[in-house]
Amino acid sequence: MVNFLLKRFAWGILVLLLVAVITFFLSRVVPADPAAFLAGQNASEATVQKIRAEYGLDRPLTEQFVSYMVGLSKGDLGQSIRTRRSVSTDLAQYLPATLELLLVSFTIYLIASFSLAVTAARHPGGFVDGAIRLLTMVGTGIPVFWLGMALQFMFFYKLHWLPIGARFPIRETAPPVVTGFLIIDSMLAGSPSALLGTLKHLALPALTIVINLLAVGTRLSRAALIQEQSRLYVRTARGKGLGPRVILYKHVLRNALSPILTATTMQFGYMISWVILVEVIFDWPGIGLYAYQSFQVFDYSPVIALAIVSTAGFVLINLLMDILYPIIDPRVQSVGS
Amino acid sequence: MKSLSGIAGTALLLMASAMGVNSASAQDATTFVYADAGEPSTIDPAKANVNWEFTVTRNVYDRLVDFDLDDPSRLLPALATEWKQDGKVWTFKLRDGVTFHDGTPFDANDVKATLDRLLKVGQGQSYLVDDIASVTVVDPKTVQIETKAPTVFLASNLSRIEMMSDEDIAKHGGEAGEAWFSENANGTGPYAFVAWTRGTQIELKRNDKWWGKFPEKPFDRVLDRFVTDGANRARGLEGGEFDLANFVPLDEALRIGSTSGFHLVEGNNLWAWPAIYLNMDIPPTNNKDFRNALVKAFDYNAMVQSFQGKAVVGRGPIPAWFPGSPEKDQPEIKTDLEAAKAALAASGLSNATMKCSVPAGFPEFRFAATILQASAAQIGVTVEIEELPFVEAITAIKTDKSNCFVLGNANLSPQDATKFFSAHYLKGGFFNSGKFEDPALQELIAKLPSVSDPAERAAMLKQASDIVVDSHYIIWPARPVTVVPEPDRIGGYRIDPAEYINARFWELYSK
Repeated sequence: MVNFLLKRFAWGILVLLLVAVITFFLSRVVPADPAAFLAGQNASEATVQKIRAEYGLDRPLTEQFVSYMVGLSKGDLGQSIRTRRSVSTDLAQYLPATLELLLVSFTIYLIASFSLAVTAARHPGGFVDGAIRLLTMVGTGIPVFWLGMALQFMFFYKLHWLPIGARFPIRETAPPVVTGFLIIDSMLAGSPSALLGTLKHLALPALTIVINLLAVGTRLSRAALIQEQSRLYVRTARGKGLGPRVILYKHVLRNALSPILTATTMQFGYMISWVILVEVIFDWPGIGLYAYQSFQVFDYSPVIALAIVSTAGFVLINLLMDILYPIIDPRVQSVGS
Repeated sequence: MKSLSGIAGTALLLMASAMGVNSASAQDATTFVYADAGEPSTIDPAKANVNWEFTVTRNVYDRLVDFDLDDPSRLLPALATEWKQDGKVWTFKLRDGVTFHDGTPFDANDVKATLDRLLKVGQGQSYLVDDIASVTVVDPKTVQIETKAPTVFLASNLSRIEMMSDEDIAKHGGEAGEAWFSENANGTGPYAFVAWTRGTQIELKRNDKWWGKFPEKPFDRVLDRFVTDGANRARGLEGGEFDLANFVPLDEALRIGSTSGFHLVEGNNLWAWPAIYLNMDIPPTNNKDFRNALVKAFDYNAMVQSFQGKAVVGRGPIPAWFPGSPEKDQPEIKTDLEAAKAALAASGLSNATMKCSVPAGFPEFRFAATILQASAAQIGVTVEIEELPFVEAITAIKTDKSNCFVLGNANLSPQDATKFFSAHYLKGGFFNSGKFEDPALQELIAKLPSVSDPAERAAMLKQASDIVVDSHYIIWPARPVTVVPEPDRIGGYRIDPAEYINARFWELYSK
């Protein structure tokens, strides 16, 4: 197992390196000039040239690449031309907002999709199953940006229940930053009103992500459960006189977990891609919004760093699943070994 | 499973309890929330060059001179109370008793340090005063500025240059320390910088020691929120989350302005929105008759209609309200398909195809390109449109990969058109993307600042304007009126004619 994990870890590092190399050269292929953006309107060519030199953009591409990779090996993700700060500083500031949104959304998603799938699988073909299938089918068809805007329209504009965007009530003072996670920081500050404000602001972006994830996740989990219910051991269990609840929760669920876990991994990947859209729609100050703003001005270093960070997210979640599979289903381990 | 349902139920209950009446509807009269279309890259006055950067710099710093928004030809005292020009030398008398937000007094050394640094940095608005040769401190309250050649526009251009503290420049300046100015601010202005929460907002507080006069019931605290999506700015404004918003899409602005609780503030600030630049170097747009055909074929009515009537068609580059504008003496520019066909025939070109690069994110730019495409098709010319990020789009035309480029025009100086001409129509100008060159225009623009007689200047400005119009280098589809919906509970908002869209927080008040 240790060898297996070490091997996977090494592969992960290689993937990250490849992503860094590919994004570095792809970003340089685009005929853009971030120095012109920085210099502003009416700046002379000499000023633009001075800025290019300041950021090393006037050096040969290979030299820039070597310099970037040397920096990367030391953990230096470069300098953002747009924010004029180091990318690491920016990421440290923006990442907690994204992680908080992702973790809250994913937790709600896991609970909701699992509950809905189990409910649907208990009476396949029944009214409840049909209703869940219909709802999830509708969810699959709604683009994430449209859903976000529709939720804003409904809950902010029409009902005045929830804020249109951002992480915290505008006119109130946010709790002191300890972890960067506002839920935790509000609790550490002992402020129920701050916690409530945080949850209100989380509600719509999280709901947007959850509804989109729920559609595919519930359908896949439901299918896995129903397929598992048709196996012979389930018939045997019934024949032995076990009740449907015991069969479902004690036997079927455990055996169906492997495909559900696979679906969950895929869903996490989707979630990382959707977060850019969701953060832009809701002005959520996380790395998605940071990425969007960086793309707009071809701010090279953040673009490459964000590609590395999101790939690292994928790699980590896959590694985690590789660890979880044998725990959930010992047959996987025996095949692996 | 029961526990799972319990957690889900608790989560739902928590969500439900979080849904109350939105707190935004209960307004705090001392805090003003401004929905800004972007987050600054810097708040350094020497480098700021876009609206959301000016939102901070204009309010935190003061300038030597101000000007009357209703009559830009009239300059007003600010940090300087008097000024006079004597050939190449301007003398400014400075206001007594002004202090920076950190308590240090303002004097002539601050003016010198600011201008020296600005010219050294060479970014942002430095082009407005790049004709300064030297700055001399005569005494703590008198400063002399010598220009490379006599210019009547120095004082008006200084109305855009924010004054910084020489102590700050000495302490934080230099190659290593420049970063301090990017995210900190210490001015003499009506609002002081408090904090910048990245990705969210910049907070300002009212400077009650400011030398100027606030209206009754000014705002003590200003939150400059970064709201990148136009629809969100509109909905947030309408829903009471924001007190004012910039760049609200026109249809939304007109709709919101006509609803109960809002009114519309209208004003002129744009020179053209958009302007279509044609490439002078590559075929078919390097053919003057061909360009003339495009100018004549363009459907101007369609563009004006897209602004729901809140626009006129410009007759040249300079709008009528600009001091010394020749607009009223210039012929109208209008659609004339027969003349367009005749011009095309004169060009000797047939079945011509051209490419147009349009910066993404500006619906009006895309629409103007689409109108050009449809108009050109009527005379047998094919226009291919490619929508690209701004830098990529302007690079495409500059590197001759595109025949046309679409851009908005405004001028940051309230009186000086020469800087605009230099940037857009003279050799080497950053926005002269189609590479227009005319020695006579070059000469006129170089001479104009030295002419002290306003009538003579106006005549020269007309000549310069006529050269650009006659070259058919630019199609000016429309010059829209800027429309800003303001809640009835807020007063004091005025449109600055020398800014794309402004926020003068010191003039705003709650009713």
